[in-house]
Amino acid sequence: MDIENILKKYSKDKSYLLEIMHDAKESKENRSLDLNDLKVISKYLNINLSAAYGAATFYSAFSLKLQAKYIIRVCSSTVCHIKKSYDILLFLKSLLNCDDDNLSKDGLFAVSEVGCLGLCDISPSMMINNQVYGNLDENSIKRIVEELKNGSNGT
Amino acid sequence: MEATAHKSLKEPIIITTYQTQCLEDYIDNGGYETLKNVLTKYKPNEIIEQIKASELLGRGGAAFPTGIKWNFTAQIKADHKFVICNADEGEPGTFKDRWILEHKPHSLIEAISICAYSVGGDKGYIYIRGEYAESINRVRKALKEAYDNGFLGENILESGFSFNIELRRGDGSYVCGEETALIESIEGKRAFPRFKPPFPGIKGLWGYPTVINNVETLANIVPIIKNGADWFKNYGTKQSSGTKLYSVSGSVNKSGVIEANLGVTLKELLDAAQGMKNNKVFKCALIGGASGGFVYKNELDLPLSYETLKEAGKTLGSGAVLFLSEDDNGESLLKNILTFFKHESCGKCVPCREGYPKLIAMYEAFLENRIKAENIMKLADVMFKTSLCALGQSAKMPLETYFKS
Ligand SMILES: Cc1cc2nc3c(=O)[nH]c(=O)nc-3n(C[C@H](O)[C@H](O)[C@H](O)COP(=O)(O)O)c2cc1C
Ligand code: SF4
Ligand code: FES
Repeated sequence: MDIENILKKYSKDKSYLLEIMHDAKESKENRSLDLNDLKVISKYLNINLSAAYGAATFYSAFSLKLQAKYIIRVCSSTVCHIKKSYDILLFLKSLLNCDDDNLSKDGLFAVSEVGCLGLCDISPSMMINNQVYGNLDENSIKRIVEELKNGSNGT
Repeated sequence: MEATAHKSLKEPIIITTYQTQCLEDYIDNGGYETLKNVLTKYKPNEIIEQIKASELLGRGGAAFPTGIKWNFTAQIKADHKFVICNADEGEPGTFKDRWILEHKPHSLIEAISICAYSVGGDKGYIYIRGEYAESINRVRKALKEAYDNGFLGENILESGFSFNIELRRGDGSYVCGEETALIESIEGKRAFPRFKPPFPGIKGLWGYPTVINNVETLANIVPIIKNGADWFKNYGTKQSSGTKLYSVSGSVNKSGVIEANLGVTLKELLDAAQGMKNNKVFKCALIGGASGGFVYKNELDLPLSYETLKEAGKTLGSGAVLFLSEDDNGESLLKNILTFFKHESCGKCVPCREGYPKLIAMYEAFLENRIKAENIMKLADVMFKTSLCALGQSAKMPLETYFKS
């Protein structure tokens, strides 16, 4: 769905700003917003571009930087920290050949460290887009990444 | 997710034996009957009196009496009033609201509607963190079911009462769970906490009186109205009535949500979690999340209620209980906590924004024996006294309780 069609779902109520940004992000292959999206959205809601920009840069779910088809969020908070989430993060980054911006070499994955995901009962945990994964170890991570790589061949 | 009721509970309040994701199940188990009774048989202030009498305390961390909060808003005359369900659950180690959102979404819709009727609210919001994708799906489905079947919208159950609830998604911000920051977020802004007072109950969303309650707080409303305040007060301790959903995690055999009487001991929770993993020795527990405090071996029998922890200089907070064994590194956990707060600081006020980087540097110096703990505590104390919201005040408790080990 393009941004114009997303806007049609919502009335011109400022409180839809984050909702619209969520939908816009979900609709894009690289899951990032660009300045043009923000211009269109702010015009529609009749708010300043700076307000939309402020929100888009405040919430770490949104990014104006290039993202990827798969956004991997590894929890690094208390419980996962105790369960060695840092090792998980390092393993993932090396497995995916991540660059300094934490993008994988093949451009398919963007890796980030995030606060508690509320998956502490299956710690160490992560999310890939909206899918949750828990009780992670090197083997399960290898398998998950492999599956996504294979699954994405055809698309 | 594992969710169980502690064996000492004869009848759980929230983690009941039936799960009520879909409307039919919910109605089969008496769902929306309470709303119907409320709308047709009770005056708004009678409901508020019941909630006051139950002495229900907010389960979001601050433990403010819910009935008193509702009463503030009910007393004010205004063109609009709002009710918000705070489902931003972000306190590290806490996952109990997720269980409620995924298993009992209709009980929240019913509770928000009852609250709105009691305070004169005309619109409700459920604000869920975007990371809770499954919760969002289930709440969205429940809202649709409620609208399709006349439990939301115009003239609900032919009572003359009309009410709407909308869902809003946050994402990737811990401070957003702070009530005024959450309100800013619904207004489409960055989640910067507001100066209080005025409190949201007086001036909240778009400047109108707004009740904002935690998910678990709201999950207690229908049972209280249904069974009465006295019934509710049979649970828990004298000053902390009811049960609590404890989010139990860490180096135990069975992590999960455990509903138990407020006042259950740490030892009892550890037993319910089937003891320490690999038969390791219990070292301490971090109670209340990152902004909570450490509790040690000599305190295993301490009842986990709001008043007992407060007396011990700690806090129950969200009810997160992270068990640590002799092998777990408390030193690095503390640094992890400080780093978390530094990262989540919104930057609006100086003590928090500048304080956390400094605290981390000092903590590192402390680990190298270059400064004393008391030097760190001085800064944590200044931050506690001068920060705009509780995020900037949060370092004091974990640091203080860690150093006192
Ligand atoms: C930094 C910060 C984060 C918070 N996060 C949450 C949260 O995720 N969920 C919540 O219910 N309350 C959270 N709170 C507490 C809320 O500000 C507020 O006290 C609560 O939603 C009131 O509901 P209750 O009275 O039902 O507990 C947070 C507070 C602070 C300072
Ligand atoms: S204490 Fe921290 S999070 Fe709270 S308003 Fe100040 S800078 Fe923001
Ligand atoms: S601490 Fe990692 S999911 Fe909660």
